[in-house]
Amino acid sequence: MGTKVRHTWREVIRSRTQYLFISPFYILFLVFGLFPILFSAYLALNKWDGIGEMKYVGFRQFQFIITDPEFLDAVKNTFIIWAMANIPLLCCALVVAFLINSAMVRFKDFYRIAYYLPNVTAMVAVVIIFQSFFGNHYGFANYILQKIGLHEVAWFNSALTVQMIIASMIFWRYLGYNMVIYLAGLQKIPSDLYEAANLDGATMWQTFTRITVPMLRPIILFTVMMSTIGGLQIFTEPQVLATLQTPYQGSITILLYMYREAFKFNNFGYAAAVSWVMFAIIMVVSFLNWRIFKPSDDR
Amino acid sequence: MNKKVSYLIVLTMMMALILSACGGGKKNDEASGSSEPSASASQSAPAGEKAKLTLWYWNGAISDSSIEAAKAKFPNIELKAEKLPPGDEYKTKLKTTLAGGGDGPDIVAMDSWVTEMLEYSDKFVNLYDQGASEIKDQYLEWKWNMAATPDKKTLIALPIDVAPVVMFYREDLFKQAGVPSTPEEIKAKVKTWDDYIALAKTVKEKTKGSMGTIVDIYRNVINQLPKRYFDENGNFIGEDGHVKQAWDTAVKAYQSGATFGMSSSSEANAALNNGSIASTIGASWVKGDLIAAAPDTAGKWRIAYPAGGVGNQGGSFFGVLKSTKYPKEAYEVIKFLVSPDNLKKAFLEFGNYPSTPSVYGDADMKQPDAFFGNQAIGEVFGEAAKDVVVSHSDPRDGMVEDAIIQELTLVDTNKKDPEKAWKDALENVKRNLQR
Repeated sequence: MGTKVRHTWREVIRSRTQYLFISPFYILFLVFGLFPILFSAYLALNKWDGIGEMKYVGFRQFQFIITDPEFLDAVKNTFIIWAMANIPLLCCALVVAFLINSAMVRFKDFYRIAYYLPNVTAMVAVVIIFQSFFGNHYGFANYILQKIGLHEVAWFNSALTVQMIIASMIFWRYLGYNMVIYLAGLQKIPSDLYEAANLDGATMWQTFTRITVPMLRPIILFTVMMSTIGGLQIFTEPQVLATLQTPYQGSITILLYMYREAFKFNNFGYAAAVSWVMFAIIMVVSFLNWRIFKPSDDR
Repeated sequence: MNKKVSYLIVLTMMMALILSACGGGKKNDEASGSSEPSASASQSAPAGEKAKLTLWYWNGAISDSSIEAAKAKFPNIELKAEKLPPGDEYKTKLKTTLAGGGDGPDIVAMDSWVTEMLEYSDKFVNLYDQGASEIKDQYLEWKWNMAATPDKKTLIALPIDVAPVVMFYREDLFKQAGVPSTPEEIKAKVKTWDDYIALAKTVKEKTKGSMGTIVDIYRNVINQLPKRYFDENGNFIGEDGHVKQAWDTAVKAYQSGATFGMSSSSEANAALNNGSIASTIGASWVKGDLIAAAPDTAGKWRIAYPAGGVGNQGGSFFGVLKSTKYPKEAYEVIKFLVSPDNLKKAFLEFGNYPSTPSVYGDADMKQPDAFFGNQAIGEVFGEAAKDVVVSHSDPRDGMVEDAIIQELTLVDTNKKDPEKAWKDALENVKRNLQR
């Protein structure tokens, strides 16, 4: 082991110029990445309002978190929004990618760009547009409902509709992103497989379920993982949506709960503890994802 | 080899460019920049050397022309005014600066949360040591005392503006509904919340114009009370009845059907413009919001003394941090910035009401305002500014208020039973206090 370490260091010293060039990233990572992570672990065991003395409280804050009904509510909201957004999102993205990739669609580049475009828009602007679209009193959605003779819906007055609005924002924004990833995966599938299936008289549905999906397994795992990690950190949408003092019911996610504890109520230690609980939740969920979508050749 | 060298050069140049761009970007935000090394530490600036002072404020805290005037008035001081984003973000930034020490600002603007900073009065220069007692008489007493420690020995900040709470209302809609519609009539006849709710109900029935939301009403009432959520010793007093009284008033207003339904601020703005909101009680700076939100209603609004008495909307302050090298110069600068003349300038420019009663009588403070049908709105503000009650505030107020407002919102949006909601809110508060 010792010789191996020494060997590694010798390698590093020998190619120091290269390391020097990549050093800015590592220095920034140490200062803005690693240090905050370690510090938040320390903070999680202390009570700190940001200015005064830190007070060591051990695991008391963790205890409070897991018994706090508001936190449990935040976890519930996060998962509901995640499921509402990501399950239809990934299914649709796969179907759209499959359709665009299939031989019969023309103007492929146009669709690719058109679907990807929402992903590069400014999130805050999008939230504001969705907010006025679904406005309780003067929203466009209600205007349409009225025009076709239906009743107005007070979109922001119930947890379910608020969650739906947030989920639709995520869906709209990430459909193109996931589609592009699937498209890249689809193009790696050798075309002779499709040709053989074609010769054997397979239908489009059969090709899709028997060739495309199995061959895409690792890519699907990747997108599920990424959307889980991203989906469990939903923050901007509910934060910007809530122009009132408190977020709309059903829209407090884990990250928003943490943010409010830290920057609204100045419970920095508590917020650090929340972030570690969130880390644990994401770990568990990612592990489950990996078990479920494990690439078939591992078995 | 040659290729390698040229790549290296290009890379180095790019790095240099990026680094200098980062450095330059920061400087552009500042009102004036200088790269000289900082002056040596001393109580006051040595002759021939400028005292460098950095000032933090947010847009609208003080008139920019006053800052320019200060620069001209103190040639031996290099004043660097940095405009930061307002609200919670500003407060967090100041708090972390206080916590972290280091190269912070010398002078900082603070909002009504200055009372929370009293706990850290050792981080601020005691302005009494700099001779602040001399100018004390110029300012409203309640306002001055907000920035003084309970033993009255330490003063951490000088008052800038006060935000007297008044009622903004649509004169045309009130007239149409047949209720008192001149500021004088309203002051004489609409004294209590019951009066106001009854009036708002009539207005709503006859014109479709609501009063504020259930949460607005709650805030209005709680701000009028001499007590809030904690006493001076940090004990929770939310169960003493006065909070419930505010809660009940808000619920009563809601149940009368006259409140505006909870909605986003952009919808509330639209409602102000289209006549769906006929009156709202708010601090003097609501004037600016109103003018921006409801251009179609220009000339139809009026300002009156609010029902239930004026509220406590502290307004802002200037303090000097202990870490400054030039406490004397810093004090001179803020003393100048909050002088009656400069505060008057801010009122004339954007409506911040001065905390110096000596200017209230000035002719230009009573200029008619076209948006308010040529009413001399300064008069109402002046009247409201004198009667303010101040309640003790605590860093945990935000947490308590949030829990209450969250439940109060549900009374409107989910038709939750008000008694149940109140119980849930209290339970939530108590649980959080145990932490």
